[in-house]
Amino acid sequence: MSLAEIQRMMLKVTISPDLSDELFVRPEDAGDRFGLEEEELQAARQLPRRVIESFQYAVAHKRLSKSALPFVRRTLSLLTYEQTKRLTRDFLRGRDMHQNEWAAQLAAFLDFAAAQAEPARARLFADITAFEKWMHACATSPATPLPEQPGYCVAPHVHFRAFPYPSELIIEERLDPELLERHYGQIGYVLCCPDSGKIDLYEIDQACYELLSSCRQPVAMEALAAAADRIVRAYALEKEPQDMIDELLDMNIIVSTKGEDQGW
Amino acid sequence: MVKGVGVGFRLDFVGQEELVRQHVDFLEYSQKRALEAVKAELGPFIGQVPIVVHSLNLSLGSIEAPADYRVEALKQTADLVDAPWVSEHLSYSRSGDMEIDNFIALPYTDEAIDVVVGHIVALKQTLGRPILLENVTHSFVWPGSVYTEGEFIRRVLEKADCGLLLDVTNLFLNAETIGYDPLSFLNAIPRDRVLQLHVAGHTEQNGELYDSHVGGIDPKVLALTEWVMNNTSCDAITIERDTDMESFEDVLQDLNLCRAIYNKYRNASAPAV
Repeated sequence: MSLAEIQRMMLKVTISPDLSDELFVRPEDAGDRFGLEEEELQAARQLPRRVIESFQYAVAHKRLSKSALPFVRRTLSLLTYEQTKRLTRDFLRGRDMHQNEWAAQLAAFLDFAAAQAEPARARLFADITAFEKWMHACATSPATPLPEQPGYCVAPHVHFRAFPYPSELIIEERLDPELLERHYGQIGYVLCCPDSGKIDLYEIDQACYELLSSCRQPVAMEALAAAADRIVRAYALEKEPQDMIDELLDMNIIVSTKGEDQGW
Repeated sequence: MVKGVGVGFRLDFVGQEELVRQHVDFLEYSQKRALEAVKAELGPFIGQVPIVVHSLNLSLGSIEAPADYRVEALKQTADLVDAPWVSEHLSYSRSGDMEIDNFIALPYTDEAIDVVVGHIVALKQTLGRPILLENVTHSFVWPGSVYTEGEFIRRVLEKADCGLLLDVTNLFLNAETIGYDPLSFLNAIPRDRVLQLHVAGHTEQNGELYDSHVGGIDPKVLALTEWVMNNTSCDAITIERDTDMESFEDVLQDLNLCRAIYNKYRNASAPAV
């Protein structure tokens, strides 16, 4: 077997669980596919199966680390090393990535992880993978221009959402499944600000979440002030509605669109 | 010429230039494609501390020659920092349109020697600088090798007339994983061709050893490092660290360990840490 043939086969084996399975389970098929003589096939079968499978995972993990790990880390932390390895190899079946395509496959991988979860953990996996898909969408969605309509609205680079777990557990990646299950239903609110492909996550409170929700689309300052006033009363906040709005304006979380005077 | 104890450059070092210069004799920079990024990252260190360049993606062991644009980018970086030498891995990671970020060990055969030597000689000519090859970690090698790993490396080094970047941690991990005597490997290597060492902490997960470049160098790796410093002409030790690091201070403990070994076997003219 020439060096070129060995390299072609080894590269293929390192990215393809289907091929390595075939090599060890149905070697004749693999031999036919690569045109291996009996002697060459015997040589290929001497490769240690467990080691090859670990290497496949190492290749996938390194590729993930280069392009997408921050967006799957929370999901993978719910799994043991062996579970992660198995999940990754199973996902790769039928998806021979000749180059690093993990960034493009990320949403599919998270969906796959959610679908593979054992029934007792299905809800948890659905929630965590949904969160990571949201993060990824925040990081990769193209920058949108400010709306034409005059008024005040959430800045285009800012994303926020509610989540059925305390936000600090998600932000700080304290993802012990028992702990999460225990706190399920305690709604957390997370603000996400992507910056050059990286993600900054911040915990916000329900009042802030509601104020931001009131201006997803541009609203006049009077309407925003009325919403802030209602929220301050509802939550008995010890701050002025104006201060609440000013804080968000100062942090560039709420911005003025074209034509709207910034002053009160 | 580079000598002493160095460390792999990390972006975390930016802003700590004075501290870095105080504690290391040289930096090793992992090649990036865009020269502007190289300039931005290394700017404060260029001309202040010697810098060697470490390449990761030429896949010198592949049948196909390295991509021209990658060689050109490497040359630009090496010229920018006036690198005393450039290193790359003795392995392959590409075949046709398939490319991975991990290194696969070459089969230890004459055909593999001829292929990799051809690429090294061409690279040396293009860069106009010495080339060092690094031994990689591996848990499998294509069956049918005609040489041992050490003998294979010796033949490549001599035929291509280049040096060895001996990754002591990789050697240790290979010896443990494959089950061979690291000293028999070392005894096969020409002692005057060992020009630089890599040392790093490693991790174990489910019985498998990983060259994870964490902090805390294993005492057995340090013992092998001592052997190399005592028995070869190598004059440069480099600490690799990719994790467990938020600032330069985090690498000081490993620097102390390596500095002590360096001073024990070489003139202790370098600054004590």
